Amino acid sequence: MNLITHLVETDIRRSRGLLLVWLLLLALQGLLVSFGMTPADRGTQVFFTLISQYMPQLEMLLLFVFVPLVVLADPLVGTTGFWFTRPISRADLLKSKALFAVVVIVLPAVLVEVVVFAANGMTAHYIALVAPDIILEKLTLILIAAVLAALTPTFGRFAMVAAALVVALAAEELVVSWLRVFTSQSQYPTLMRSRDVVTCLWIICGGGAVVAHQYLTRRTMRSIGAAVFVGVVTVPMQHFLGWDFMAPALPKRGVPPFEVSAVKIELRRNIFTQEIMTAGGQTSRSRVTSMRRGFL
Amino acid sequence: MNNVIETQGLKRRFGKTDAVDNLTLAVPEGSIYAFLGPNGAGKTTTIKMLMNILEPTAGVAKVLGVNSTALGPREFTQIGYVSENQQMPEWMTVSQFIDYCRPMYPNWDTAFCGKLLKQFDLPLDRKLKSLSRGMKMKTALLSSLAYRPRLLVLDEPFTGLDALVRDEFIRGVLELSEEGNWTVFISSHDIDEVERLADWVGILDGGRLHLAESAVALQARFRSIECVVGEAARLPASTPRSWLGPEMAGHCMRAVESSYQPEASEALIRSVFPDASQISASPMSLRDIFLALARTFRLND
Repeated sequence: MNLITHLVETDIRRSRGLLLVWLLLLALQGLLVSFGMTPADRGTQVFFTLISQYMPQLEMLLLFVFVPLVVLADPLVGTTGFWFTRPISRADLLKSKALFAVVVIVLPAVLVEVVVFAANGMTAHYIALVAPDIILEKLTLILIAAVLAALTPTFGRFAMVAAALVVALAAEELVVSWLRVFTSQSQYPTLMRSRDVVTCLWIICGGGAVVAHQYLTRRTMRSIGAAVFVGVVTVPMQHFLGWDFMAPALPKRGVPPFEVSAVKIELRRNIFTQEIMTAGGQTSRSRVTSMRRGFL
Repeated sequence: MNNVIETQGLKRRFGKTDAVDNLTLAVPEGSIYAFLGPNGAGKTTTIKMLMNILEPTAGVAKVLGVNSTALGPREFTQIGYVSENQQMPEWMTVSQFIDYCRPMYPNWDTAFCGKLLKQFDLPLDRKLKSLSRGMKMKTALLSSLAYRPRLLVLDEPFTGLDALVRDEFIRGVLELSEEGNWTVFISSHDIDEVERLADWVGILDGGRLHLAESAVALQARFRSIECVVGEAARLPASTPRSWLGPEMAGHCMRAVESSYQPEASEALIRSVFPDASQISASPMSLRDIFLALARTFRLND
């Protein structure tokens, strides 16, 4: 039997309880959003709305338990890990964890969202446009949790570092909003989204490199240095990047101006769907993304 | 004879402390090597460097002919490692643990594993976290023996085990070492336990190796000497270098002779105490040798 599959199977067996909770949460989220569970009485409706609102937060919280538990099952820090003296190569361990993350965490989450979109009449074309965005979002969260877990020896230490990170992010937000007052920065939705995408890509690439480095070398101090660098660069990227690659292309001279009559807004079931056609019949990805945000 | 483990000037520093300093040792193939030393002597740090868990600050260690920093899956199919500090996958049952380890080793011997299971009397359906410390150590030992490694490294395997389990453990290791030409490297601060096992001894203290030789040579070399001396006799300021911890008790002089040779040692005693009588030289246990040496190292430090 392939050692990588054997390790993935072991991780699945070890985390089967949490895995079940994870899948149930995804299924419940999908059911609530996609099949228009709209109970007649107002009280139940409010309850359902509340659940729907808190689902993403719960999902994120669960990810921050699930990912470190899987990473810390074979710790990379310290000197007591069982796998250190067993014939498991560092590269194989990394591959097995990556495979676990993709198959068990990302894939079901993407599938559920695809089902939600499909159930609400979204075309395959739109789903294909939105899918990378979902993957980007999930991978970013997984990588943040994986970096912290790869650089800590126990779950307790992981929780402490994660809490410190949350505090640091809140402080950062405070400082940045104060800076914004003085720099009077514009906050175009497309610019914000462009920054989000670049930041996510940076975290995925940088975080992935840190995790890979830690798995392959177990040089923790160097990995911590690299993680701090990735984190520090993320701050200006998220708030001050001026490259708005998602902004709609300006109409060329001679091309008739944007026609308001081309905008069609359709309300179906309890879902808000928005379709904006540009003059050339193209739909910008940023709009699809904002449409997806409207869904959830 | 080939050496399974060889180190040359091995050193590991933590901050300003040298946990292991300039360690040079050789473990011959097929031997049971007892790596002795008090707590904090640097035994576990040495083993962690040998197993590529820690990187040396300086020096080189070779295990099975491979530089310890390059030890990988291929070498680990030939090395068994049991340590009191090892984090076992405690959520598994004994049976699941065996199933987990088996695919990692192409040389896993299922029949031998079954034999060990019977010998160690391990409950297959119980989770590791619910096992006693002794049972857990035996499970770890089983998982490190079932693939018949060329080298078995045991780091303080007796800590926390009661006398009965210790005895079973030692008997297990002895029986197994007789089955094949296995090399066992065992670290312990509990000399009594390894005395029955060891055919080679290395003594580490303060990160330095003070002695490394075969148990037979060591026990032939060391004797506890005693003699009756005259009333006015006193211990001279300078005693022979081969005497460790000489002391007077009334008319009796006691010392540990570290280079014992029947006639030469008696002559040496007479050269210091011309009127010495009732000279006796008794063989020493490994424990007594270790204690005499440890006291001397401490005094010299």
